[in-house]
Amino acid sequence: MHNPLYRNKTRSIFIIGLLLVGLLYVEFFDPKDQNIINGITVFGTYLSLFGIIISYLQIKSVSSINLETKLVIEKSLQRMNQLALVADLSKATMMIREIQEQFEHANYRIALARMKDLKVILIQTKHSEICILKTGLISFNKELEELFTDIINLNDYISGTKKKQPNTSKINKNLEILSTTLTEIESKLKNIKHDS
Amino acid sequence: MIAENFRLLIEKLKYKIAKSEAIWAKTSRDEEFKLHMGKVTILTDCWYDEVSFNKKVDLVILNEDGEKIDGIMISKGEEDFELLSELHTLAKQSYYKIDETFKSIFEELDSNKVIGEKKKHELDDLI
Repeated sequence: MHNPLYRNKTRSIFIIGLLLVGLLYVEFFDPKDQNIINGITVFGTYLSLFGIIISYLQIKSVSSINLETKLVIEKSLQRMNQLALVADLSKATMMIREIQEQFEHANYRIALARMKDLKVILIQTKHSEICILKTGLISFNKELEELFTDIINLNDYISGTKKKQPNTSKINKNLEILSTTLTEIESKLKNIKHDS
Repeated sequence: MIAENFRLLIEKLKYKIAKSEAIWAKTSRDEEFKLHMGKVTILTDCWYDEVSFNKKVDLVILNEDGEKIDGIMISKGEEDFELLSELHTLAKQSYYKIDETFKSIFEELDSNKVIGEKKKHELDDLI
C-alpha cells in the first residue's frame, strides 16, 4: 500500500473512474436532471464504492503482511530451536564420554548422577519437534530405552536393592551405541538447509 | 499377595509368550529381561539376595520416560513367588529361544544324518 507505484496506479484508476462516471452522468441524465443534487448522488455513490474497494484491498494487504511476518518468525524460532538442539546433542555426547570414564574408575555414583542428567537432556531431545520431523528417531528411542534400564539397574545396585553389580561392559557398549546415534542426529541437524 | 491387575498382567504375558508373540531383550543385569510395548517397558529380574539369603524375583513397569510407575518384588517362600518366577523363566526361555533350540536338536537327532563335524586336520587333536 505504501508503494509509490501502487499509489500512482490507484490515483490513475480513481481519475479514470471519475471521468467515466462524469461521462455517464452527462450521457444518461437529461440536461434538465443535471443539477447539483443528482450530481452529488452520482459522484457520492462513486466515491463510496471506490472507498469500500480501497478499504478491502488495504485489509487484504495487511493480513498478507501478517501471514508473511508469522512465517518468518516461525522459521527463525525453528532455526533457534535447531541450534539449541545441536548444542544439547553435543553436550550429551560429551556427557557419555564422561560417564564412560567414571565407569572405568568404578565411580558408579557419579556415573549414575551423570546418566540421570543425560536422560533429562535426551527426553527433551526426544520430544523436540524438529528432531522428530527431520531426523527420524526409531533407533534413538531404542537406545534411550537401554539407558533407562541401565539407570534403574545401576540405581538398584547403588541403593543396595540388588547386591550384584550390573554388567558395566554392556552399559558401556549401550552408551557407545547411543553416542554414535546422537552424533548422527547432530550431523543431520547441522546439514539441514533452510529456505529463504 | 499381589494386586489383581499384576496377576492379570502376568497371566496375559505368559499367554503371549506361549504363543511366541513376545520379543524379550536382555538388560545389563545377568538375569533381567525386558519387553517394550507401546509407551511402556516391562522388566523382570531374578536374583539371589545376599542380605536375606533368599531368591527374589521382580516385575517392574516403566513409562516412556523411563520412570518406574509400578512394580512388585517377591521373595522365595512368599505367596505368588512361583507365579512370577514362572513368568521370568518363560521370558528367559523366549529370549534364548530354548524351545526352538531343543526342536532343532531333536530334529537333528531323529534324522539319519551323521551329526557332529569332523575336524579338517586330525592333527588338531594332538596339538
